[in-house]
Amino acid sequence: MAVIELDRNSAGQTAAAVVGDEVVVTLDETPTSGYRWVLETIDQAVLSPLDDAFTPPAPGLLGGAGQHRFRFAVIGPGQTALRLGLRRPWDPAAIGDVFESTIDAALAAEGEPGP
Amino acid sequence: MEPRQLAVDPPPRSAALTLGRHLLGRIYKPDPRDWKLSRLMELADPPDSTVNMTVRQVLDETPYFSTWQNYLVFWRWVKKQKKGPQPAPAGDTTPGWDLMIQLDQGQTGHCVGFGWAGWLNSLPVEGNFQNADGHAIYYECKVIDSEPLAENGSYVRSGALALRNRGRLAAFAFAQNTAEIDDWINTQGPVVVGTAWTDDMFNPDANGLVKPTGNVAGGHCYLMLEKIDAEDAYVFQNSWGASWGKNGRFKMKRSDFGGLLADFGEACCAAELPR
Repeated sequence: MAVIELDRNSAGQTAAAVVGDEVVVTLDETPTSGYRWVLETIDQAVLSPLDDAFTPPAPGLLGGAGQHRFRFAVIGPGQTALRLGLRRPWDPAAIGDVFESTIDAALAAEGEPGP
Repeated sequence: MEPRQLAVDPPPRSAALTLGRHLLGRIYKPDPRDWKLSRLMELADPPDSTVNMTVRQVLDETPYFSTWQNYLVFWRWVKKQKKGPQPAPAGDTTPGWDLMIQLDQGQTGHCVGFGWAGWLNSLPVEGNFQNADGHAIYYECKVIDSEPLAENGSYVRSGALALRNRGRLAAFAFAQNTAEIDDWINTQGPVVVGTAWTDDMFNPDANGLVKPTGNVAGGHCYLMLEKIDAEDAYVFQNSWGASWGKNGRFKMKRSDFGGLLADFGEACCAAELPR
């Protein structure tokens, strides 16, 4: 199983994956702005959310950014957009930043290790 | 009319810094030039001849404000006059000083700039500071932090120094506990605070009350507006626009805030100067 790491620099790009791989997206987040990254779009026949976790900024400065990490399992072949939105949960109209990448998943070739 | 002298700071002393308490886990360095809160509180009430005038009359017709200390005692008097029922902004039933402008820091980590911009907007000296001013104050903080333009947050103290550089703040002191905060907020005015912000604080209850429980999401700067004796709570102004909380405000039990303050938080009490 391979782990495909995506970050801000991966936005707009297509990442190749194999069923059984794991996709990890890590993005900067400043929760004390009220904006937090949320999952908006995936094809759940291709990707399945595993979990997400936030690592707070190093203590000290007020308003510093931490990192939000989302993990997905590649569960089926196909192509899907992976879209995350920076949103304020109480204000859906507030449009924040968007991260979008494309995952192109293939079945593992015969003879290759499966999931 | 004699020109007014503004922003007379405490006499300069050694600029050497002494290591002190930790601020949110980092070494916090109190500056020996900062005032002690008790020293700010010792100043006397304004004379009777002054208390019957409006702020504008005092500014225009008397030499009363020849020193910043007189601003401080005058704000104390204004605060006393404000006691009692006050008109509240539409949709906002929480007490607290009038603060009609709801600032929004957007996606940035500029809460320190916005906490101090909110402080400028609140009484004693009402201001008209907008979001752009909050961002500008933040960047002035980053110059003071010796990290110009860095997007990594700042300190409450840097905001105080930025406003002192602007001539809008005379002296400031950090309250060490809620008793000192109570003394200040009951007699003088708002307090700019910086504490840890936890996951459960994002969601005020129907009464606008937040609980500082859950995981720490980061450090946040916000403005303490008033104390509600009946609820043993403080009212705060956040910088996430009017749609969050109770018209942009929230409450926290005094004991809960005391816990945040003791956990490497800071609360800055400052004497404001008019423009």
